[in-house]
Amino acid sequence: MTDLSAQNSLGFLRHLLLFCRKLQQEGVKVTLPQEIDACRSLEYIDIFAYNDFYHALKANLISRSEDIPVFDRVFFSHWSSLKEYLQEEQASIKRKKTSKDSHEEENALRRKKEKLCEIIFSESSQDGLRKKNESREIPVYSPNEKLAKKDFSAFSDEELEKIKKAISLIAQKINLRETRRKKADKKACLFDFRRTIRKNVRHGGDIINFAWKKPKVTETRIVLLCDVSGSMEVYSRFLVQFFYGLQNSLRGVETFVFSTRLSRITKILRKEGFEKAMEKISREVPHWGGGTHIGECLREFNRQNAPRLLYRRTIVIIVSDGWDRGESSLLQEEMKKLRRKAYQIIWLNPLLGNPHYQHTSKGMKTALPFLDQFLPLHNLDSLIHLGEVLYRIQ
Amino acid sequence: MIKTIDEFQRAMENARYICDRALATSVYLGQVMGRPLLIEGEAGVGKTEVAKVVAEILHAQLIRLQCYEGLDVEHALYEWNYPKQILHIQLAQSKKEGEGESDVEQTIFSEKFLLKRPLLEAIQSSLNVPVVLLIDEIDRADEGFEAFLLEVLSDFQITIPEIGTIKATRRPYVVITSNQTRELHDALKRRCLYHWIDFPSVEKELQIVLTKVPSVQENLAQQVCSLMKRIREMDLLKKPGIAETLDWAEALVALNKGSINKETLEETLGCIFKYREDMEKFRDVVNKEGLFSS
Repeated sequence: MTDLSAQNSLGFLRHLLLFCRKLQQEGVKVTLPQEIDACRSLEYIDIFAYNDFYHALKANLISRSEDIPVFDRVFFSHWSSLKEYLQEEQASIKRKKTSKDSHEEENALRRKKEKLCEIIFSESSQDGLRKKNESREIPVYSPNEKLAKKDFSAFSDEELEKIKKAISLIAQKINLRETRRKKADKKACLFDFRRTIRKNVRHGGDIINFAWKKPKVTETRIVLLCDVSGSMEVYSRFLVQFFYGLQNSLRGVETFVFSTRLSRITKILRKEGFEKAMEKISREVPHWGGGTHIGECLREFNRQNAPRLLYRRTIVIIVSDGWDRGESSLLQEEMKKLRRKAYQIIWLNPLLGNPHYQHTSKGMKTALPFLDQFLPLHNLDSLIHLGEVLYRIQ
Repeated sequence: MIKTIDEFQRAMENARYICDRALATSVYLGQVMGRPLLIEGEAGVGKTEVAKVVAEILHAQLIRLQCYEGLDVEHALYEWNYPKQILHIQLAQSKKEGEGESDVEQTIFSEKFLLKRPLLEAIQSSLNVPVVLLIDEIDRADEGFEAFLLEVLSDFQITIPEIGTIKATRRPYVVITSNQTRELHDALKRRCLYHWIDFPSVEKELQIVLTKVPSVQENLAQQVCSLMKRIREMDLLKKPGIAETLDWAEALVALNKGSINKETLEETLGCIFKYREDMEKFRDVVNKEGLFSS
């Protein structure tokens, strides 16, 4: 158990908080209660045992496995001075053990520890505080500001990472709307014992009025149909990120990509790392970057997948610029079929972000009457807007 | 109450659970800080086992809530005992002892008529022993279910509209496991200590096999573990966990095999792989590179 004197522990606390701040800067989500818990946990362990100190902070500050490598990197660079001191310390304790009696040894150890606290924690925390003040100028995590207006086609890897985060936030919001509670209802099929009893207390135990319930909102399913033809190529990195994020943060998402043919990539996206998914997609979707036959691909979807996937609460999201090379009568026919089966059809068009855009493309003109929503998808703002639309639909 | 990390590690090893310092630290902190412990990792690395072992070494009662899609309040927290309520109403009616409607209502919505489900049972255990509450595979439950857990996990209390708030008489030790089939909500994660269990190293797995399957010979166990490591490095639909390793070792012992060759492997492949595609992939590798590549 570690007893830090008030003064020292204050210095130490600063040091610890600085460490948390660094983690946040690296994108690890650390909340205040977690920081408090991390401090509390140190009361129970010997912080001079470097390993235990490491495990204790890790258990408290990390809450997803992806963050572990980041944590390790930040931890070892941040607390390296501590490790050196501790090693020196232990060596000197060992040396002393041979010569002095235990009581004196203990005292010496305690004095040493106190001194140690004073030196490193107060010094480095001063140093740390200065750094902290400097770093305060830079916003810790605010992707929205800078990225919101930037077009997706011009994104770097790092920025894509932030988009991934935004998508998972949106997904979480949508998820919370899903309920599994049973809502009381007269027209439904499940017997509601609880309310029946309640209603019939006055009749002396004879059940006269029945109460019924039905499952409240059932899960909404999303089917993503994504155009990956040549004209969409500039957006492709973002697109993969987009459906990778949606696929892995929402349940009941099915993802398809199309150009001249239709491919289901749900399985590839599921449970694999992003890089791996990228690699597999490029291997297994040979028509990536090909021509565009939206109508034919929709027909394939309607024939083979729609019966299984589309039911009353399925939202179909089509991502395409609408440059169709196929027959527009076919497209019209298939859009009509899709319209009958899907709950909502949302068309996301990256070109719509351009203020001078007009629906000149044949495909877009054909599809437009069948859509519930026609939205742009070209920057982070539009993505957030999509999240709101999905949230409202449910 | 176990007082140090060392003690925990030793106790868990005595209970035949090979555990590293990191896990011992997390388990120990969970106990002293009264925090739920969230354990994530691939299927079959021994997540559920942690709860069982902790219950064993703390001499605690283990209460298990297996999560599934559609799990709801009635099955996780509490339900009213309806037949008993009806009986009581009829009894009160026949006696006609002036017990008015509101009195009856008050009686039938009291604790006497409550059926305790795992979560309520855990915070209100009637036995005078500590409780370990295992919430298994939480990622299978719907997202909304996590919201119900929040009150239980942060304040250790359950609010029942008809009665009021029931507080824990004694804090249970909570272990939550997840297979990461979906992301858990931050609000839940924030309330927990986090621990990630990885696939074990060959040495650690060997130790586990020798502990759990005492009748196995060491060189056979060595072969099993090094093959397992190779299998896990492959790109498979389902990577085998420690559970599969133990099954395999047991099967080999039961078949009286002293070492692994291609025939024995073929006979026991079903212990390791759960998909035909995986089996075939591994067969290909073995045919190409041999059983033990080095």
